Amino acid sequence: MNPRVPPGWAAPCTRALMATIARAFMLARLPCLGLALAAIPLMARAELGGRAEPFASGSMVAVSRSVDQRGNYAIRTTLLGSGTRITEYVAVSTRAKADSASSTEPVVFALAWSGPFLPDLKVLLGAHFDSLAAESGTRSRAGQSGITVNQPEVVIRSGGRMRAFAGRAWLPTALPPGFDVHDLD
Amino acid sequence: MTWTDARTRLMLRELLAVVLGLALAGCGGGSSSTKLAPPGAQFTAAGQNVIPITLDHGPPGAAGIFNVPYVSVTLCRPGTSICQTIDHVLLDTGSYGLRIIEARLLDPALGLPLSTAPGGNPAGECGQFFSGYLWGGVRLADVKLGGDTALSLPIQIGGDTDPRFATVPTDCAGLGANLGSVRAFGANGVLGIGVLNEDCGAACVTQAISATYYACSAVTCTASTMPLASQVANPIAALGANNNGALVVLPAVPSGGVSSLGGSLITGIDTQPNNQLTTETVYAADASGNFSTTYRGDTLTASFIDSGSNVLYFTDASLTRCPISTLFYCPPAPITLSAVNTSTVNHASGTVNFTIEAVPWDTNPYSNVIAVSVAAQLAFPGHTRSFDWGLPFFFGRTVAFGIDGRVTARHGAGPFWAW
Repeated sequence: MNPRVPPGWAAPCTRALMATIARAFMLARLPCLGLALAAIPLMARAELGGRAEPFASGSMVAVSRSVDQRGNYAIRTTLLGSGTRITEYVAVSTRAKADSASSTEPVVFALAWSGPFLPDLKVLLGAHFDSLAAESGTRSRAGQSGITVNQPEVVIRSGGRMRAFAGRAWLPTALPPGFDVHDLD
Repeated sequence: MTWTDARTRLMLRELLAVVLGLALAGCGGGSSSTKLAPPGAQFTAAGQNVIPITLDHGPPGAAGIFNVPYVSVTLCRPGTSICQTIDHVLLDTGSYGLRIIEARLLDPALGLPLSTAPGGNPAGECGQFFSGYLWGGVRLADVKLGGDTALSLPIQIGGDTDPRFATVPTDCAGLGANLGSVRAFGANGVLGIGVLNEDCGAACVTQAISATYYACSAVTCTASTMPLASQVANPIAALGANNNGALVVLPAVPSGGVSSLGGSLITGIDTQPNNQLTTETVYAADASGNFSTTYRGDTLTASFIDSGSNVLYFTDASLTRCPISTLFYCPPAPITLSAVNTSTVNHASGTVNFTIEAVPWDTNPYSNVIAVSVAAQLAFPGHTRSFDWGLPFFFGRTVAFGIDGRVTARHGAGPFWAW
């Protein structure tokens, strides 16, 4: 199991964390519309469990950022041109590395999406997409309105109907202190 | 696990019922533990604008089906009398447009023509469902519902055999599982007839939105804009008459459930003697087709009615969960609950009392129930704003829906729900 956020992490590290997250979001200011996208085949790389890198999927009409009151994590909301909204929750996470040293970097620990069209979940969920696809492959669409993946490493909820979809996903072992999954919205 | 368990149990109980039946035949006796549900009521409205609704075990290849309303739809090559009737098409007020799940279900002699994207290449589509996608081409068909016809209507053909649709676009596959099989979908087709007109709408007219419409050449499929008239759209809205909405009428289902049920889809509102709204309250829907439901003090502003949801889906921590199908509720005895529905548009408001019972197959693996009033927790406990009024809401009711922008003689324009 991955370690939870180390004790005492929040207060002393907040300033450094915010600087780190701010740098991550600076990247998000890269051109993300029209010709720039067409010319540079950027992939959306801000995936669940991955670094908070530039988000560039489809045409974006608005990006907003905020930080929770205690400074434990940051929120980036992207409104796609299709009308679908994607919210990424980003915190510094301690990641164990193969050489047993650890590094800290801003990681997307939770996601929320809602709107008339599904986002590219394969991109957003990264390695966890296969869990969703495997789960949805086991049941009929007829009669259902939602899907749930409950695994130690990832929780995914996806549901809705044509022109009105919504979903959430989070990494239970990577949630920062004070974060309540009920706040994913 | 939850949903999967429910289905597995369902398949298992069918198998056990067969085995048990053989065993009983051998023993020449019965058992009180094998109590089977009786057949349900059959309601058939009079009129030429009526399509029968059947609840049964579904088409060959589907498994674990219950509370799924099916209709038959007749497709014809536009302008001809070359037609084919497709049975076991899911009647779905939660989607828009007609889709055939597998191209193999169509007689090659039907020869439906391809629909085109701007620029002239054949139009492909990624049909979006919460758990995945249906990929295929868009073709034109005269679609007959009852006595009326939608002429040259764009419909989607899952797994279309034209080689230009051979490869699923990457962004379409990124939505989830491939639902393009009768087994995965639980139906031969889906008749999407909710309160909106098109499956995409205005957004696709001006933008090539990822994982929606494509223009497909011999080389590749490219995301494409699509005019409203070329989008896969609500067949009722395209009928020559009785096209402003419809009524869904299903008989009541007694406690314990039934092994069959029949009802009627009646097209049009206030257009014929059989589709007049009389005592129903009209709830104007918002742009997503939603209204507000207040349940146990929570106001759920994205609530909706979905005949394609086989149970009521809502969150209530006070209800007992089922021991096996743990997302389902299993009250010790049938329980009557209450909610208030309110339109956020015309502010109509009314109380709905509804009764739910334990899912039969959790305690009786031999259950033959095909229609039963049951409920389950929503997929997003604690952070949803929805009450999904699935098929049990329709039991014993006439539920009407008016289509976006379509005027009725006495009840205004859609989108609205009425019951």
